[in-house]
Amino acid sequence: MNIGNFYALHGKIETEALSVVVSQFAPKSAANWDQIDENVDQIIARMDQAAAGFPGFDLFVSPECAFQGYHAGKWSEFLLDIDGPQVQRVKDKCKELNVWGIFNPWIKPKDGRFCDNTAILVNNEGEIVHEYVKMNPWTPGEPTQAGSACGVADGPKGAKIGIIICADGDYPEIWREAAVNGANVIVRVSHYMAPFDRAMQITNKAGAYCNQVYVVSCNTAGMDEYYNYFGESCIYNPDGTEIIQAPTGIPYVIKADLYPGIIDHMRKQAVHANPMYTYRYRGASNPDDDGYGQPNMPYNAYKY
Amino acid sequence: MFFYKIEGNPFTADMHYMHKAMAPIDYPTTKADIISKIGDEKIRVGHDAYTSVADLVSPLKKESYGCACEFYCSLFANLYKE
Repeated sequence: MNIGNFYALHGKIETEALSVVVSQFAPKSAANWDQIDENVDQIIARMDQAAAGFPGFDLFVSPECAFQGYHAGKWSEFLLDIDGPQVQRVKDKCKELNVWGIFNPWIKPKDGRFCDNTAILVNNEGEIVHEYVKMNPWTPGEPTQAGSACGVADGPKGAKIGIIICADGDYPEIWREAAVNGANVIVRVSHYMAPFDRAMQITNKAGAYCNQVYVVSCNTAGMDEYYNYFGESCIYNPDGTEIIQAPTGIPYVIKADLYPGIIDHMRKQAVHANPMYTYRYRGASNPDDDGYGQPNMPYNAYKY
Repeated sequence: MFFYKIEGNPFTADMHYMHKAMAPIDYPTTKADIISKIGDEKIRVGHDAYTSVADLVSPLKKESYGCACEFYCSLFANLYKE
């Protein structure tokens, strides 16, 4: 948990346990509204299963595309209204079960734009408390409009939740952005297919370790007309070590209790392995820089 | 003062004792707060050498520290000054 830190972690840590259920399954690649409804039925059934199997859990996480799948020829004909009945059903279910949930409806924006690949965080009152639009669409195959911010929302049990979507995780800067914005848990929902199975694990682990944050990864498991979605949903410690991983390619549910307050504590009390400080104050222990380090941002990658 | 300046039979546990002394400190904090709480604590910095936390912390240029890493960076920067 505190691997990589030479120094003892001082101080009393007060944190609640965040009980997270990650459910991997496959939606139908919807070609009509009835199939959309069947996919929503499946999400609801998975939430009921979570309540049956893991009484008292706090947060339910479902994969990217769980409402609509990704029908290569027709997906753009079945975009959802954020205020529409499909999204309302999962909101109602969160309220009924008194749990929070993370879902991924592909939304038709009210301003007439084409499509936003949107992840939502619903609280236990059935309210959408956070919306995130995928900042790094899987171009060229995913022609959604790129989002412009990776915000963080207060979740249950002290969680500060950042959400990223699938290909987002291939870009190190978005993990850092969520962490800089205060995330102690980053949830990555995905519709990731072979041959990117190893890539998903590598990037999830790197995201956790490099940003000192829990990572919760929920991936589709199953097949559609084109691909094998490998599942392997996983939860990682902030040092990148694995807490639990689901099997390959089959519907499965994993659950873990996380301690978000530990992350907040480490970011304040850790001497070494405190990347959220050291990346901004490079070389701060150099006597010429006298504790201030080099505050300028020299990376061309961040200045273009 | 610390081991890297001692030749022959180096004493290597100085930072261990310093960090033990820092245990009551929660961040963010200030230089004044550290000195107020543990300034009189004696830190063993050699086989037969001791100094106080106040002596180690008072010269630091920064007055406040948002996290432990920030404090220790300031401490190390000062230790390496000639």
